[in-house]
Order: sequence, then structure tokens, then C-alpha cells
Amino acid sequence: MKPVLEVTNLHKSYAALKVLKGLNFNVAEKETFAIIGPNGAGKTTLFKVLTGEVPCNVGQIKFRGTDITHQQAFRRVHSGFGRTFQVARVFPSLTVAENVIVAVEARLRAENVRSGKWYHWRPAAEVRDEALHLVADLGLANEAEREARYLSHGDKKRLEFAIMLGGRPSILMLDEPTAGMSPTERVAITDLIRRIKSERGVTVLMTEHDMDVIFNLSDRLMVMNYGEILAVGSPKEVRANKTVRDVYLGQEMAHA
Amino acid sequence: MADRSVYFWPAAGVIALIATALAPLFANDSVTFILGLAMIEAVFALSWNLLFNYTGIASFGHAAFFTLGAYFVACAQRYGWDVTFPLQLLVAFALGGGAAFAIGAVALKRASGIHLAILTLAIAEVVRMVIGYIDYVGRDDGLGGIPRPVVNLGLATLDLRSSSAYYWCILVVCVALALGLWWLVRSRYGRALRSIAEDAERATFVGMDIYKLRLFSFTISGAVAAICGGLSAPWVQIVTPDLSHWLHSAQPMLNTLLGGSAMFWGPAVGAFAYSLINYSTRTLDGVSEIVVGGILLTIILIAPTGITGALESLRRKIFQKWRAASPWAQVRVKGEQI
Amino acid sequence: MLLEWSFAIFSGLTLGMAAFLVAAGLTLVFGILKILNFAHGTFFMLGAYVTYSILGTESASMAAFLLATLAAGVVVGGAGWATDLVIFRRLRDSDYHYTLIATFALLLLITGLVKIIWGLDFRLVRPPEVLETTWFIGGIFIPAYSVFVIAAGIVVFLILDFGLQRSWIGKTVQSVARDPWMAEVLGINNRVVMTAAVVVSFMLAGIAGGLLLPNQSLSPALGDVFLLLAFTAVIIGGLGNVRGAFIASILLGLIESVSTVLLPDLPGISIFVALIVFILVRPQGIFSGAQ
Repeated sequence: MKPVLEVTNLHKSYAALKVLKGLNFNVAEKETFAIIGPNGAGKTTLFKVLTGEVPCNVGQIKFRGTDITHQQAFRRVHSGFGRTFQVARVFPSLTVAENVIVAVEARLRAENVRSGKWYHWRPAAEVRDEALHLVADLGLANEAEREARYLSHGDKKRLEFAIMLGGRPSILMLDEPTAGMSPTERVAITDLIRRIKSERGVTVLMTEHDMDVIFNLSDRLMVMNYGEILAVGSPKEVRANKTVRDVYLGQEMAHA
Repeated sequence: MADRSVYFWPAAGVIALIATALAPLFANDSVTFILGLAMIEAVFALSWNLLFNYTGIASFGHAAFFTLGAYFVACAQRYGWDVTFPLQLLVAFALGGGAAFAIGAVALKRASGIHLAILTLAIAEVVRMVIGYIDYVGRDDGLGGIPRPVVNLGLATLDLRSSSAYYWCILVVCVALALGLWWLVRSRYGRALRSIAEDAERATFVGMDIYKLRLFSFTISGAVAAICGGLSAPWVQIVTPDLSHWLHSAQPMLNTLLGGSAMFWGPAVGAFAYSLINYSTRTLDGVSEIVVGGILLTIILIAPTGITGALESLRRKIFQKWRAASPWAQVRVKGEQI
Repeated sequence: MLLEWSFAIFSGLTLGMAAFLVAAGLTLVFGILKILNFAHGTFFMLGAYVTYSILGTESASMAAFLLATLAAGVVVGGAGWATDLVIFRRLRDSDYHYTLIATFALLLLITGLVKIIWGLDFRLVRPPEVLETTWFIGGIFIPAYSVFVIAAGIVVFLILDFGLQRSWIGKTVQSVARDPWMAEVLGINNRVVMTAAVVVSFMLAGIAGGLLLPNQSLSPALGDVFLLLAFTAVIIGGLGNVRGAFIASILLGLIESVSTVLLPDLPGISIFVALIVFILVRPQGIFSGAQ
């Protein structure tokens, strides 16, 4: 099967500091692909290059066969990228429903442009229904009319997922989805990601620190260190990898 | 029983509108003049706040667009161009929008934050200087003696030469523009703009082309500012390059912050409140600067939510007390318990 | 023709140094507090009025002139302290739009005060006696006062540059500018450093007002002219960069004086064109902004 995301010879440096040193990897359709590595390994930079926040110096990124290396971030969203942030980012003074409506409307605008209709009216109620459906689906039905700033941390994360799903993405880019959460919330978010995956058949690319979450969810793991790829493979293979054990997993593996 | 406090703002709006509409019938000429100007400045401030609160851009040279519209209509009226007045306003609208689009297309792509602030300021100054070089528009002295229009509607003619007739013309156009902006802000575009103002990077990742949306907002805002300028020229009957001075660019800023930027009608409330203050203080050279600067500073330091913000919290307090004191409140509470 | 050009270059240098005297304080405060002070030009004007009030319009002795200038620096520096206390400190954590608008409000307020105190009339103040002469060198007339302005600009630049780059004060200030939080951890009192920066910046504005007072037409509009010149210099030099502002000021002075030769019908516009072009093409300035 053709990979969804193909990354070839990706380099990124800030002034003299080389952060990514020629990465090559593929992400397959419908898999959960996790990027792990110690702090400063270049995970966040890689993430930003993939989503289009930061341009890369050298290399190529292909999404479903199309070169998107120089595509702006919002166009990547139009072609199927969804993204969450380490610290959940929502629109604080919009209501929960409006947060999702904004995302749905942005998607509809993009669909209109793609289909050549410069304007295609859709009844506001229809848009609202879709958004409220998502809000309810993520368990926020009772909060729909509250301003997003009043939500708890966990609920903000859910809202962020709802916003993302409003764009009907085919690949989810999750930047440490369980960062700063309690163990209970962590389990809830892990279940949520698994459910979204099975219901919508999406590909997931995530970075994560928590080993339980990673080994629970991912089909394949990529271990990074100092801007290079140390190992790629199934959780089992990575566990067995000697270098990875030495460099990174050491302590955590003992618990896993 | 429904919460009656939701009627507070619409009721206040309707009363204010009726009072403004009836003003020429019982107010003297100078008060009518100031009210006419206040309406124009109100819409001008609303157009500035479309950028500031709803898009997250602060323009420090918004008066440039106002000036453009004012000079166009002034020339058309003064030199008797064969363009009917409604069309003049439409052309002013298009000119302002076109200029804003051209400036925004480059400026919003290349500059942001402080750079954008200085850039807009510099552009307005250039407009002021360039006008000062042109003989046709009267150089530094401006154009005076601008006649008010008579509109030929085919079947009937609309004579706007009298002060009260032109006043009602201002009222109609301003209300239409304000309602248009209000609709825009509540529409899906307004919602998109608001999300950009809140967190532009986040908005990018729901797939918004923030450059395009900001440019859209900048264009509309410039167009509305220009039509305000166009409306003002026959009312004041003189235009000078100082319309583009930064003192005038500060006016919508002041009105917006005075009235409260967070509520849509805040800038309009601010414009009228400011006119009131100005009417009683404009006597000595320098006083108007001190009043404008002083109020602006006081609001920013002490009451950043402005008049509407203060009224809104007052409304909440009063209605809460009223509801608690009302016998109906007890009944409702009992009803709910059953 | 050659003479015309050499005179243009000389007057360009003079204008450039004058612009730098105003720009220095502007860029200093931006470098440390990240505040762009719209009112800076107004405080420069205030300095000029204070000096004028002390000296009158007639020629004074050099010593009196310098003392009056210093007094203007102290008065305006005091205004800076008050501004920091009342405005900057309160708005330190708020959205930068509000700080910009607050300094804009201050611009209006001070302009209004000046209008009320000193009126709208134009005034012409003569330079001190020593500087009233004109030398005739290489076929052009060189006013001694212009040479004085150029020298003053260079001296102020050298003091600032030395202070910021070499001395321990400069190192403290730079550490606050780069990372206030880290500086605080290291035991530096950010508040004091920032207040000092504001006071020094305003003092510079006041002193510049005094130094540039002679031969100017002193009016409440004086601030506007120099503010935009200084803005342009600061932007072109890179916000917060003193060396950049110095070089950009010279460049600007030359652009302006050359364009008065080439485009005598459009006075003043070349500066704006330079400003607009620079913001659009190279917003980070001629140097990459790092100080």
C-alpha cells in the first residue's frame, strides 16, 4: 500500500544549530505512528515542519503522492491535516459550539473553493447541527453554550479534538495529547483517540512522552535522538532494540 | 418568565435612535451639527473596531481612507462633476475599498504588530503631504464652500440642501452602514475574523487563510471609512489635509476605547459621548488634545472596558437585584422545585 | 554643481545627526522594554521649549546654553520617570496595542499642554555666540552650529555605544533586554533597570531638544517632524539597535538632502517613502536586529 506521508532527506537548522539531520521515513495508511525521543531530540521541530509552521532547509515531504514541502499550513489542513497542540488551544471568548462551527465553516469554504463554486450557501442550521453533533460526540453537550475559557483542562482538550474533527481530517497530528494530565484523564484521552481511529479510519501521527499511552496506541514507533532516527519499528521491535534501550528507554522499559 | 434584562440593550438602542432622528426638530443648529458629525464618527469608529476587536489589527492611519472619500465627494460637489450624490458615495466606498485592498495586500503580507502600526501612520502622513502639493484640491488650505447635494430620483427630486434634510440623509446612510457591519460581524465571516483576532496561529490550523481574511476585513473597513468621509464633506462643507492628520486617526481609537471595544455598539456610544465632552470643552488651543489624550489614557489605565463595559456590569447587577426583589422570582423558584 | 552637492551632503550629515539625537532614546527604550514610544518626539519638543524658556531667543553664552540643555534633560527625564511609574509599569503585561495607544494618548496630552503653556506661535532661537560664525571651507559655507550638531551626535553615540557594549551597566541592561525572567533569577532588579532605561531615554530626548533648539522654527509641530524622522531611523537601523540607528540616521539625512536637490517640489516626502519601503522590504532593518 502506498504510504500517506513520505519524508525524504529532511534537514532543518536554526543558524548554526542543526536540529534535523536528514530524516527519511514513511507513515502508512491508517496506522498510528508515534515519534519519541528525549527532550531536544528534534520531535517538536519535526512536528512543526510537517504541519507547515516552520519551513525546512532541505528535503521533501509528500502527502498522498503530492509534494507539500512548500505548502502553507492552512492548505495542508485543507488537504486533510488535523492538529492538536501540546497545551490545548481553543478560541477562549467564543462559545464551545462556535469554536467547532468556525472549524466546520473553514472546511466548507475550502470545499467550495476546491469545487470551483466561489460561494455556496449552506443553511446556518446545517452547519450548527454538524458542530453540535461533534460537541456531543466528545461529551461536551452540556457545555455547548459556555465560553471556552471556562472549560477545565481536560474539556479544553476534548474541544480541541472536536475543532480538529470539524475539519474532517484524514491524518491527525497530535502533539503530546496527554501532556500535563492526570492518569485518569490520560486513559480517557487514549480511549478517545482509539475510538476516533476506529470510527473514522484516520491515520495518526503523534509525539508523546508517556510510555503507557505510546505502547497502548501505536502500531509503529520512531525513536529520535539528536536530530537523527535511532530506530523505527513495531513497539516490540523497538523494545528489543539494543541501542534504543541504552540511549532512551532504559528506565521506563523496566516498568513497561 | 423570560429574562427581561436581555431587552436592555435593544431598548436603549431604539430610544437613542429615535432621539437622534428627532433632534433637528427641537435642537438648535450647532447641536444638530455636532450630532450629525457624531453619527459619522460613530460609523468611522465602528469600521476601525472591525479591525481592532474583530480582526486583531490596530491601524494608526485609518483617517487616510476617510480623507480619500471626503476629498472625492468634495471635488465632485464643488466642481459640479456630473455624478449623482448616491453614486458619489458608492464611488467613495469603492475608492476606499480599493485603496485599502492595495495597501493591505502588501502591508498585511509583509508587516505586523508595531511595524504595521508605523506603516499605517506613515501612509496617512503621505496622504496628507501629497494633498498639500496639489493645486486642484487647494493645497494646505483645502477646499471650502462645498455645496450640499440635490438628488434627482427621476420621478422626484430629493433636496438635501437644508441642514435638517442632509442630517436625515446622514442618519439613513449611517444606520445602513452600521447595520451592515453588524450583520458582517455576526455572519460566518465575522466569526472567522473573531477567531483570528483571538489566536491567529490556531486559526491557521483549522484551515483559515488568515492573510485573505485579514485583507477582506481591511478592505471593508477602509471602504466604510471612505464613505464616512464622503458623507462628512457636504456636512462640514470644507475639507482640509488635516483630515488625514494623526489626531484624526486617533479619533476612532478614542471613541472605540471610550465606548468599549468588546461590544459591537461600543464605538458608537463612545463617539456620542466624546461629542458631548468635546462640545463643552472646545474653546482654547490645546484643550482638545488634552481632553482626547487625557480621556484615552484614563480609560486605558483605569477602565479598559469603556462605557458599555461599565453599563453591562451595572445592568447585570441591577437586574439581579430586581429579580431577587420581585415576588415573581419566588414563584418561579417554587415552580422549579416542583 | 559640485558645490551644491557637497553642501547637500554636509547638510544631510547635520540632519542625520539631529535625527540620531532623537532616535537614540527611542531605540534604547524599545530595545529594553519593547515599547515603541509614540510620544518620544513630543518630549523632544518639550525639551526644546524648556531650554527656550530658560534662554530666551537671543544668543547666550556656550556655558549657559549647555546648562539650559542639561536642565531640559533633567526636566524631561523626570517626566520619563513619571511616565514609567504611571503608564509603562501598569501596562507591562498587557497587549502591546494598549501600550502603543497609551503613548499615542501621551503624545496628544503633552502637545496640548505645550500649546496651552507656550501658544502656537513660531519662534526662532539664535545659537550661542561661539557657534554663530560661519566658516568658508572649500568653496562652501559651513555654519559652526552644524559642526556642533554633528559633533554632539557622535559624542552621544560613542557614550551610548560604550555604555551598552563595554561597561557592566550595559551588560546588565542587555541581560534584562534579552530575558527579563532569567535576569530576575540572577538577582538583577528588572524594575530598576527598566525605569532607568526610560529615564535615560527621556533625558536623551530632552537634551536633544535643547541641543537642536537653535535655528529651528520652534512650534508645537516640531515634535512631529522629528518623531517621524526618528521612527524611520529606528526602523531602518533595526528596532532596539543603537548602532543601526546611528548609521540609518546618517543614511536618512543624506537621502533627504539629496532629494531636496533632486525633487525640490516635494519636500519631506522622501523620508516617508524610505520608511514605507523599508517596512515592506526589510522590516528587521539593515542589521538583523540583534544588538
